[in-house]
Amino acid sequence: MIQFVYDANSVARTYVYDIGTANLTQIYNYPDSLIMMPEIAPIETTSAWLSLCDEGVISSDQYQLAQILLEDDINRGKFKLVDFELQYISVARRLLERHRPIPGVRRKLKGADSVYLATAVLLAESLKPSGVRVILVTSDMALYQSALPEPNVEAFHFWTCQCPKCGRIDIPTKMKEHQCPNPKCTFACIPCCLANCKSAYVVGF
Amino acid sequence: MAAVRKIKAERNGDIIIPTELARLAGVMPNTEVHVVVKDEGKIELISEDAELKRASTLQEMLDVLERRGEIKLHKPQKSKRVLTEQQRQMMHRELNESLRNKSLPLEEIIEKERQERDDSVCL
Repeated sequence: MIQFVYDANSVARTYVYDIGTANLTQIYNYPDSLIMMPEIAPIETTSAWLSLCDEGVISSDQYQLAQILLEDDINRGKFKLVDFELQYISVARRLLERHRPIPGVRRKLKGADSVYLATAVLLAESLKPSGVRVILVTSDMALYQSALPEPNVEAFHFWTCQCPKCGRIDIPTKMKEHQCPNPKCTFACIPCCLANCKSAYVVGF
Repeated sequence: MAAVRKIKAERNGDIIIPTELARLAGVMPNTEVHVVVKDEGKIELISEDAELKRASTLQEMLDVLERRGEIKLHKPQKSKRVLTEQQRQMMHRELNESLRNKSLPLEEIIEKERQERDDSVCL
């Protein structure tokens, strides 16, 4: 059994497609699992969608469609909103203190990031006796890097892709030239974007 | 299990049980157990780990955590009608059709907003 924890990027990309949405769709349909998020996730997602709407990148109708779909997933319990109340504060503080930036190695864990990581950590602690795996799903590199060393919590970067030529797995950077990291392989995505995406990655946990 | 029957448990909940009772119930002394009141006044004592392990689905485990007060879950609004799978697929298509060849900077917006929130707290 797997308990997934989504951040706002994962929620937003479930509905507004880009690289990584194929991975999120597989997680959405993953057997014997649930998807959970703290209450801040739909709020951050709404704010980001509204910014796109204000800039004219998506229409008001598209914004409304995305909202209806998100609300529907919450109403039918597909996405579960969780609240740890005051427990968040001490855990998030500990995580912010532990995951301070290291130039060239690790990015800074920001305030909102720590809420997602705290959610995953608290769930993992509570579910530990049952053997349930807790996997934090994000495309935020700072959050991903901070989750990796946390005991009992696993992390999945949903931009993870697999080279269709040699099978090498990698995490690309969106809109940058992406060359397969296998030195013997010549496959490249120029640039890395949904229209060019040929990833063969199949999510398996 | 005579000692067990002496407990006046009127509702389900957690208690710390005394050593003798723990021995009879087969759980560790002074550990927190969950009391389940059954029919005809019979009660059942379950240790916390066992209760979680006994749950057969993830949802049942979350229900256990919620009952213990470890988490609070948002309850879906049952009065609201949910979309059919066909409606959902149609809405997904409609939402993304014109965006197919665009790369929208959603992640960058979320990252920027998080950074701005942090930066706005100036000392």
